[in-house]
Amino acid sequence: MSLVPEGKSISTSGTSTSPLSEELARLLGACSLGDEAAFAKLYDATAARLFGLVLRTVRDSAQAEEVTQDAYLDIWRNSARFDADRGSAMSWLMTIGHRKAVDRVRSAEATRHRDTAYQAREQAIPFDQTAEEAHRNLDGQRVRRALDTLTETQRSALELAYFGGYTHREVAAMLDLPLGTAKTRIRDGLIRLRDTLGLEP
Amino acid sequence: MNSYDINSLSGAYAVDAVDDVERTRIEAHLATCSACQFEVASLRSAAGELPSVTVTSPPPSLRTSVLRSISSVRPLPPDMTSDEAPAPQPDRAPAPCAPVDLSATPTDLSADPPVPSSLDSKRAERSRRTPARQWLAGAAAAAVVATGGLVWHPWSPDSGTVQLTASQQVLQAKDAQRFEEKVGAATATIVRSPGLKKAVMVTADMPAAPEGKVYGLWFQRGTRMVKAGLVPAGRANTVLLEGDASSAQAVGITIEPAGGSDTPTLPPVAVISLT
Ligand SMILES: [Zn+2]
Repeated sequence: MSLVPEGKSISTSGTSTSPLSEELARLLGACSLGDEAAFAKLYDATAARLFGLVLRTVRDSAQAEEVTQDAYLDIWRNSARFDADRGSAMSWLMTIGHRKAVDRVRSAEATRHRDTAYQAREQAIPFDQTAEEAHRNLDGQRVRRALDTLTETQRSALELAYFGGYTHREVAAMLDLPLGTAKTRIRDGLIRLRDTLGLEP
Repeated sequence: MNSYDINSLSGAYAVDAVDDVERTRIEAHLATCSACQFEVASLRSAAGELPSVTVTSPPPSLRTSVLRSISSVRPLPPDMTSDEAPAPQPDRAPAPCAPVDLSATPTDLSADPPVPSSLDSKRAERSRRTPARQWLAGAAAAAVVATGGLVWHPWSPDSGTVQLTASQQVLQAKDAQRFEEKVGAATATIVRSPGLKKAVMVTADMPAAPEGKVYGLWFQRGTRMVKAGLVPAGRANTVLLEGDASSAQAVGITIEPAGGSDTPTLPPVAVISLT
């Protein structure tokens, strides 16, 4: 049973006023009391987003499944600590998934040499891997249009940081930016994205 | 790192594009700055939209295994600690992002200001509803509080000695650089001589490490934390850090098991920036 069946146009906007975010917040409240059925609904409504994000970052299906499972376990365990006053439920869920994915790629990197040039080439064609699936999704189109309002550098810096899991220093090196400017580009890009999408926390 | 740097890192922090040292510093700042809290939350909500361009259905087997895994795990109770932590003026307008306890160097007023946020009025409203203490309930906040008794007393070299110890050589070096870090009312100081490639940490009235634990010292080089020795027990200390200090960007202080460890136990209780 899915709250958001594939291909349906229900908005998954992260704004705290969207119906989905209110429903997710309610489900998280039920999870905190141990309601496993509520958790199953929460999973069905968000798994394609969270798994897609993790897969994009760790680039390996088996690892992405592990990381996603780990993220959902954290979400279940910490559901009582979600606070709707501090941001939307969707934003909270994605923050957890993203952090897990980044931790995974960084700890993997620690044990092997990172070929920056190769990674930069890999990252140079953002999003295309999953473009087909994203096109089925109205939110995806809305966010793509918002991303198109960013400058080239803002967009590249944000993509490398968010989907690539690179630190702002690594991003600066990969894009050949002066030291200290990548973090500014990332921030400016997020501000532009936020304001274009009309978001608040 | 000063508060301007911290503010400019809000975007990188919101997308986890910071290293462990930066994260610790930012979270310590966020615990006291509702303006930055609000900004980070708003940037996270923007970042949270990005996964809508990579939507991918996971295999059905994942659902089965996730649902199985949670059934043996009890959800944690709500966080109780955040209500007891000291709160910076929770009922007022958001605290300005001021160069307070995190400044190792004076705020660079000549730097370009960060892009202004268009959400000032909402920010004020939001911050009244969510005092800083509730925002950051994590270990970083607790760790910062743990060094609250640490006070810096100026070190005075013993003028009677002719033979200088390695520490004294660093402290009296012509090229000595001084980096002071306050954590609340507490301060620790690193003195580094690039010429000697050595650094000394000076503390006074440092609270004892928890029983069975010891303070560990680490150099931050890039994203790596490199072992730089342990702090001997005692209330007043001048410690010569082990290893080459010239390329380090920061010194981290952690709490380690007695005897020390090979990797730092995070989060650090304090981080002293050397830039
Ligand atoms: Zn601030």
